[in-house]
Amino acid sequence: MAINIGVIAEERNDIDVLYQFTCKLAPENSFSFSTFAAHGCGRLRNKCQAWSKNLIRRGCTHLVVIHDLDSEDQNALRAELENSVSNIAFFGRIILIPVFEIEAWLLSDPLALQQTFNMRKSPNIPQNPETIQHPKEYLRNIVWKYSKKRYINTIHNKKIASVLRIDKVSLCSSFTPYPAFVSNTITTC
Amino acid sequence: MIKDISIKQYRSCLDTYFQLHPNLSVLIGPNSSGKTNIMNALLLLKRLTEESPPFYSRDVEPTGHCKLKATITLDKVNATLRADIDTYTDANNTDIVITSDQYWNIKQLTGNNKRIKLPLALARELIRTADTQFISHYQRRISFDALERISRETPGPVRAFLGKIAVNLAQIRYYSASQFTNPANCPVSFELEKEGITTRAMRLTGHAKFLFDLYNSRKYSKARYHQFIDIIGPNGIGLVDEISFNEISTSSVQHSVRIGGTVTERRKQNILVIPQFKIGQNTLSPNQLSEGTFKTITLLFYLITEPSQLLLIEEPEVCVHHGLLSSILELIKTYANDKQIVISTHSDFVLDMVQPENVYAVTNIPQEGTKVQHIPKRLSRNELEALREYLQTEGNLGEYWRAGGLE
Repeated sequence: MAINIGVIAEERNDIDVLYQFTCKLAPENSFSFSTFAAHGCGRLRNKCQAWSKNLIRRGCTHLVVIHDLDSEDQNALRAELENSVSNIAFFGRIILIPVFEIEAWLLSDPLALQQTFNMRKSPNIPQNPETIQHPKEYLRNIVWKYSKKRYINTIHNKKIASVLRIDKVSLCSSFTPYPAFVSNTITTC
Repeated sequence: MIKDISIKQYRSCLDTYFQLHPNLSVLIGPNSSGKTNIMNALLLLKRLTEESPPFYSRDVEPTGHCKLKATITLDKVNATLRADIDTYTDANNTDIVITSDQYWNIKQLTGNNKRIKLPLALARELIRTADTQFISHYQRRISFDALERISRETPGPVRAFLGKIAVNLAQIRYYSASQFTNPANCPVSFELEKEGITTRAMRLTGHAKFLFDLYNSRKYSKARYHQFIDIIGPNGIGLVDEISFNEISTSSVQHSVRIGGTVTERRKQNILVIPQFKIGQNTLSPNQLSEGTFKTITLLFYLITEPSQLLLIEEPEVCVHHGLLSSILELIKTYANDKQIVISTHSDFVLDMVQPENVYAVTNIPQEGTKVQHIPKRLSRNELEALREYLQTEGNLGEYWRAGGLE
């Protein structure tokens, strides 16, 4: 039976990206997503607990929360999010905190960008994309520079994620725990 | 770029001033607060570049008189325009400039505060002809002596600068959801003369004009058109799979009889253009598209392909699903890096996707008329800090607005 994973994220396209990555880590028919997109970090924090409770009622057994770190203190943010979901009885949960924005994960595989935007050559991207302060803006600029196409996160993040090599994104420290979480989730259920 | 604008005695804008955001300004406010009037006042700057020909103004009584003052920045030079404008509002609620006095202050170029009297329509004409003797409309309205005086008193670089401003303002583009309601009104084809395509196209309006612009862009602005197709097509938001134009050559014969009874025959070659939108297995005529699809295609078309430096968009949220709306807003934000965009909205969802720095509250105060306040300035320091904290930890800008937090 497919397990139902609850996902709470700031934006809809963050969920789309995570779905594509999860498809690479587990058979597509072994899981399904039930989701909430907050359209902003404040609403995510405020609603995290209520939405988590709702996800349990909708049959989710596991929970993923994605919240950009931006300029906040990682430990404090993680503790706050953990605190808001700690009393809710999921079999497993994970809080993913991309260092600046989730787009850094998408920058981890230049070939995926080349393929998505039909670039003539693979773009030059820093070895560790999580060091880029504004990855969304960086991605927008690099797409324009190499393909003269407009990057729109709501459209393209999912497409990039669908062709991205999972071993590349796994090198991003904020994503590293996720493959193990998926593996444990699928095997335990 | 328009830095600021002061509007006096224009509809509900009795004395309205605001500084526009260099990239994206979002106007919010109740119905009848004056958002559309502000948009129309900005459009008047475009109208000034296309001042009506003299035969028109002779017969028409002005229906309004207003004053505009705007600071316009081009190539890092600030120019201040003061204009006294007589307008006539036609049956389509379009303002036509009957007469105007326009004075410019460009201290950065002239080195002094002396006012320069040079109408934008003339400045635009001057940059085209570079010769005062060949100015069509103005030869009839302004005496040759006056033209000579303008030429003498306005240094060449200033004339060229104002000409560039005029060209920029002439490209201001206005989009409103109400322009493209009911696609059933859209023609399924349109006809063009093989020679002089633009003459006939000038008569097109509304849906037909959009189809012509689309056709024209595919022919003459290929790079921009491909960007547009890339975004609305399967690689983008997937609204349509393909747009094609079937072209059929047609001809017509015109007979005329000369004195003496000689009959002459004139054969005209035309092209019948039939646009088709492929969505999945279906090939649709434009009038078969849904209203939301049609509106989105038109909005994105003008957003992506227009060279305009100022785009005015009224209520981009109308008839659009929220998933698609977030893509439209992301696009608007992206293009706002290249051109100044002003949008008006009633949607809290739109507000969720922008920053407080982009938002302007519009209110209509009895006796004082429409007032515009930039949110970061409207709120006190404490209120602004409270808002920022709320956005970080509690909720979104849209719900903050809906709950009265921006009032």
